[in-house]
Amino acid sequence: MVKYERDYEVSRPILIWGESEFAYRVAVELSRYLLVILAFSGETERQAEGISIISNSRLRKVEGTSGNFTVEIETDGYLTRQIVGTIIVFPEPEHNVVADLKAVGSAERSLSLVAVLEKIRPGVFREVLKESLAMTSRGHHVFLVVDEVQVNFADGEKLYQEARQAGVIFFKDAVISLPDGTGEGTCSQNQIRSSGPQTVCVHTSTLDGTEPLIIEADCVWWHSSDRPRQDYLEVLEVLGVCSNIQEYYPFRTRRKGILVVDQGWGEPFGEEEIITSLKILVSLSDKGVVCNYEVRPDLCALCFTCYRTCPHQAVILGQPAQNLYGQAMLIEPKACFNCGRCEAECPARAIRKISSQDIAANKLVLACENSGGFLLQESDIPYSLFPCAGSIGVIDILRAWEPNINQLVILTCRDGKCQHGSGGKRLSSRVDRLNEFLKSLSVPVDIKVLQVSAQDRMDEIRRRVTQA
Amino acid sequence: MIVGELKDLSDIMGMIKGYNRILVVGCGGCVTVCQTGGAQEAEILAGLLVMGNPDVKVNSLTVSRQCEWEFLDQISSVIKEHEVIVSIACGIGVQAMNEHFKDLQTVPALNTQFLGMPVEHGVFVERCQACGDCILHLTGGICPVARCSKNLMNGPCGGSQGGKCEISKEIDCVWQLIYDRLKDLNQLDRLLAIQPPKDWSYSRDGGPRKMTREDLILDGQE
Repeated sequence: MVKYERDYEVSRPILIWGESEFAYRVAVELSRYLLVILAFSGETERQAEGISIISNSRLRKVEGTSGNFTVEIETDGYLTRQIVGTIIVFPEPEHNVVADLKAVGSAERSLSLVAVLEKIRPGVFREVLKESLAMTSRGHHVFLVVDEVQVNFADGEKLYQEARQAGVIFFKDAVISLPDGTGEGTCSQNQIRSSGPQTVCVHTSTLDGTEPLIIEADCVWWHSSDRPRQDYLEVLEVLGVCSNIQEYYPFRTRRKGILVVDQGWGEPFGEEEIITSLKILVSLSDKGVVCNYEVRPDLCALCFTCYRTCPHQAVILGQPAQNLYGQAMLIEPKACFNCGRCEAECPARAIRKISSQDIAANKLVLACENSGGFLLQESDIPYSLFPCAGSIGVIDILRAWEPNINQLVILTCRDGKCQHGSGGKRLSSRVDRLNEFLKSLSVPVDIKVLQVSAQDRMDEIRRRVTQA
Repeated sequence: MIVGELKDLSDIMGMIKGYNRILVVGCGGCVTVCQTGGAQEAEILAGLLVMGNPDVKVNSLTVSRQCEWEFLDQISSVIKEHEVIVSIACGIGVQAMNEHFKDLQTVPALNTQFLGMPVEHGVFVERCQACGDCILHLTGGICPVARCSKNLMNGPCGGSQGGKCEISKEIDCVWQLIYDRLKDLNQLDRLLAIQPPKDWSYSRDGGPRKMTREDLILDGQE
């Protein structure tokens, strides 16, 4: 008898969480191929064929893995359970600085506009630059008080220079105060009474003299900690994905089958590109799955280390096993990103890399392949690559050591850049503990962790490695 | 689970001084789960001991449980090739090894700490003192014997401030926890009953303890 459910897997619906025009458009596009559930917290009058719209909703729970998520959605106090294959989120920003600028930028008379921008994502910064440039060309005066001039996106430097030449005024490391009573001190976001007309003082070392610049502003905005709106933060938390994955790709996710479409981080992807990419990603989500790690049920101690530390929630409990417990942990191939952290952390050594090669001794450098590690291939420095710094276990480090070596270097991604969560931080904790051990043994071996990027120059990485 | 913590490496090095063939033996039970005595830690400790003294030969292996003779039998042939055993099991495992392998010494690399559980990954806390006379049914399932700094049976004492123990701000006052729990269970009246002094003869005060299941004892004829 043919098992049809195995041979012909039914495509699960897609859950889209978002209320923007673009989220709706994506829902319409994808509904041509699959059933779509569109959910969000606000109200709507919309109706569309092939789309099940659930407004006034909160996402309560998500279980399962890519291709087979069970989600619980609460609507008006009632809980519904849906099984979906893919989840796509379009986070709404808490403050939309670009929309704020656009809203006043169309005014006919010339306006003075001050925007204080702190911790703004590069993609948003890019849009602010573009909008400021456009507004200045229409005769407005735009003052941008920034914690950092960001140019780390395509044509970023060019756009910045164009904005400066057009007359956009940038202040960096500046202190803002209000003239009435707050004196020389910093004023806070709360003290900016509204976005309406007011006088602000800008104290900055980049201006000649010590007198602050007084700006009679028609509008003042203070945008700090650019982040998604609270209800979307809750959705992201339930989904188990991070809201601040600093990658220049709008679909980065730490959990397979869950796509966060957030353009705020970088490259100016057009809507058409995003829709095309989503169609491909949705259709490919379960195909060509290769998982390089497996749990040996006979050794699994069911300590939950892998379950708790997997940055992608790819480990589940429930593999029947012939061991003391009758069950073992299981790495779900459809959810695994092959980062290898489970192998490095397993205290029972029950997780192994399928067809792995032993780390040869006498390797001076152990490197995360996503950092600049691969750039060492053109150098004469012996090195080993790992899928993530988090997969470099203490045992790997000890195996690399030989009695004639007194220094080992480990290359990780820069802070916040690890695509597997915090692999570099996990590794650094291990190295700190190991260095303490070596110190207590009076062993003159120093293990150093260097943060590098694939964008760094090879000779620069080499210099840092050799001088570490 | 039994929670243990690695001893200072210099202390361990001192215990194995003079030996050249060393075997580190891990335990697949509690100490694997509390991340201090499993296969990974055994391998790491072996590597560190070699780094501390490259002239010695150090091997490592792990048994399912060091406190069972049958598991220890499985490693008897390997044991013979070594001069000293470093156990990273709890004190029970170390004693089992010494009792089973009489020809050579097993030294402890862990300090056995307490009976506890992980409240978050990497954080283990004491939950039971093995006092031999459980009263958890009276205290909302929260143990004052293990978790009250003074082992009070009728708490809290005057050192309870803001839900914390006077010993340390990091320690919850267990009697506050018991009060809150009994309130949730609608059993606050339990606190009105005065508990008599605890009979510590069931605990360590009665000397080393022994538990016997007569029905399970084999008579030697089987």
